Amino acid sequence: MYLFLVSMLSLILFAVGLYGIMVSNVGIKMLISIEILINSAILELVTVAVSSGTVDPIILALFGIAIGAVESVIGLSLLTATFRRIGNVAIALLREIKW
Amino acid sequence: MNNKLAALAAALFVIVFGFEVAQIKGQFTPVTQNLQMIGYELFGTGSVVGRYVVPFELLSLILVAGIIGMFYIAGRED
Amino acid sequence: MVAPYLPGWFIFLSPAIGAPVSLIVGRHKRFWAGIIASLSILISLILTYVAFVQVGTSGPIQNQYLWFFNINVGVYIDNLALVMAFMVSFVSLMIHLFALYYMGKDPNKHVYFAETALFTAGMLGLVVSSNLVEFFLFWELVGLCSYLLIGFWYFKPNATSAAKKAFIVTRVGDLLFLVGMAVLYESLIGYTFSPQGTGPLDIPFLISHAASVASYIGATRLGIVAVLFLAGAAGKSSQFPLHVWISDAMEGPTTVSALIHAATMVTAGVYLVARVFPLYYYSAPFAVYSVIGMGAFTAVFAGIVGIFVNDIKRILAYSTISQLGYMLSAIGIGALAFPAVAGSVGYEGVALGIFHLISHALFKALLFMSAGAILIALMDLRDTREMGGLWRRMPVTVTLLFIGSLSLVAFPGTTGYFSKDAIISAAWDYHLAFAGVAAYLPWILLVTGSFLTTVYTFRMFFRVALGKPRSHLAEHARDPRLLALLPLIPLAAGALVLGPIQGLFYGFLDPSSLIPSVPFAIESVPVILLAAGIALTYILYGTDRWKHISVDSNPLYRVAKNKFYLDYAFTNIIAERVIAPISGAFTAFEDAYNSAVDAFGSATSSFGTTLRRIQDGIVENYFIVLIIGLAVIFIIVGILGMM
Repeated sequence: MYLFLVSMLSLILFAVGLYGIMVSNVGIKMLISIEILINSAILELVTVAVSSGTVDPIILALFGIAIGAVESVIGLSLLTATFRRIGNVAIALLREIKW
Repeated sequence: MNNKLAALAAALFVIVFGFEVAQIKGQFTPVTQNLQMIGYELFGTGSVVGRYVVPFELLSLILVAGIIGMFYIAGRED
Repeated sequence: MVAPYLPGWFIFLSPAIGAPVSLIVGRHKRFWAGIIASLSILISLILTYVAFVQVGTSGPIQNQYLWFFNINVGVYIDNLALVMAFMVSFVSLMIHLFALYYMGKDPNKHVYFAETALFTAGMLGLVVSSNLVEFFLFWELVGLCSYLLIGFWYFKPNATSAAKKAFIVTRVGDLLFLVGMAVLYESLIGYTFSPQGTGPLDIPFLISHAASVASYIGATRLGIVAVLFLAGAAGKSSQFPLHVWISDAMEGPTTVSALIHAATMVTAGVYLVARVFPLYYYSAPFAVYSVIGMGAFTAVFAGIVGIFVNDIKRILAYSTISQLGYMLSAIGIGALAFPAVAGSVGYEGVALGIFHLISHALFKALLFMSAGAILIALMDLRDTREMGGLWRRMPVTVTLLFIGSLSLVAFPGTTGYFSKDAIISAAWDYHLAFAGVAAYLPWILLVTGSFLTTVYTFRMFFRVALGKPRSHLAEHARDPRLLALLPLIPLAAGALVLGPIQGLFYGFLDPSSLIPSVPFAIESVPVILLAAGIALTYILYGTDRWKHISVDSNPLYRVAKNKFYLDYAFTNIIAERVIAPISGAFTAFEDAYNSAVDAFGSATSSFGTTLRRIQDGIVENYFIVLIIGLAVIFIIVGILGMM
């Protein structure tokens, strides 16, 4: 039963992260929501590893942590460059992908 | 309107995938993990051969590339 | 040792090579274009003689190759082809030599000589071809060159519309010819051909196996095929009702009229009927009757119209139509009038018709070319009402015209007399062979035609030659250089002295043919009519009496003057009221189809434009749609997985 609960928790966390991406107008909020996404995935991986007794999902989770860290760094650098160009980081101003 | 639609999308997502997640079967009796096994799986040679050393190194290479790119983008003065 | 059939191929290949060569050389040096074209035709004449020697020793030359399916292409030269090739190359050579003078100052004369050389190549190819499809190919080539040459002075709007009319009217005949060939081909599908590789449309096969072909496909169907071939010949040889193009075709240069519309192209139709004549002989009788009927009727019809025309070249054009009618009816009459001799297959008719064809070519080319010399001296003034008294001013030219006219009306002693009166005598024999009033008809029509010939010929001649000049240009006309008239001398000699070889000629074409002989009283009827005609026209036109006769109010005169309203019927009724609306309907259908295809494309494009507006640039919406779409797809896959 506990496996079910923890898996549901990670799913809800994932949905929270998605919601955060969809409604955020501030750039940092979007980055933090992406972190939430990654962390929910890592939580799920660790849960599966514990419940099945093997060690391989934990190594994948290790990789995921590293990737999450670097990805947020890159996102921050992009936000910095955007801030330098436009002056504020409202996502609603980025409307270039139009028809 | 955007917020409501986003909430609706997220709820739909939870419902649909919750159905699938509920099918995962397993025991949750926490077993004592041997942290040593993680090290063996990653880098082991000898009696327990590690399988993940090559992906580990490749991944680190990609991350280094990403960081250097970050240096360049963030360091532009225009 | 050169291959024995090679001269046969080069009979028509030599002018075909000479045409582009003279065009290319003539672009830089105008003078050499005519020389090269004439040389290539001289080579053809020499090769024809070589082929004549060879056919005399070893029989007909035959050499063919498979072209596609079972259509062959090649040469087949027997006596008939030899005679035609001789005539075509000789007359064409004389006309080319005259054209060196006639087209001397024309800036486009290299184009002219290239086109006439190409035309001669087409005509010679038609003569020696061994398969009906190849024949049709050269037939169309000849029609094309006729179109190019009639409209040679393209800046004259009359000339271009006349060229179009000629091509379109002959095209109607060609269509029927093609249908006839298709019917014949399709009917012979199950037939077994004895030498391997013979096709159903091979001319030697059709000539030698006509009886078995007739029994295989039935005489009636063969008769239909023969009548369709006759319709093609009617288009090319300008018989009724497809004769309307030839009088407008006189807008071209006079040497073109001499070459194409007197001697060679218009005889291609008669040659076709003569070539596959065994088909006519073995088919149902209505085929030969239609040949005779069309020929005799056209002879009289064109004669009637020719009496009321004033343009000198148009009189000669109607005379050509009339004489071609004589040739066609000769072919038909001679087949039926004489009892079938073993091995003859009615070739008597072919001998009669082709002899008249040869003599007609000679004197008609002579007439056209002397008319051309007169026209050059009179600066293209063509109305005979404004000429007059030219015999004293241009003696040599008008003497040549006189010789041609004598031969045309069949004055006793000229070649025309031997050829034409033989046809009329054969018509009398036809009446003797068949009973009934209808059997009289060919003789009556042909004799009437002979009287009409006399009337229109000497009407033209007396108005041109006698009396006082009626215009300023006619007063100051002079003879051209005698060197220019030199090519006309052999033609005049031929028109006068070729009579006595009649027996030899008939024997050459068909060994069992004979010269028709009739009682002296019947034979003298045409001569009496000739004298009466000359007297009548001398009274009317030799003096000034014709100026005082006014017949404009006579309704019969108006009908004949308008060429029996046939032109009006074709242009105003058929072309404007029938064919133009049908063509408009087809164009409307095509336009509808085109716009339907375009509408399909533009509908797709506008649908895409509408869909494109979904991408409004708001990234969050993209993301929302992504998540929702993912969920939907998962649901669908899950449902499908459960089924």
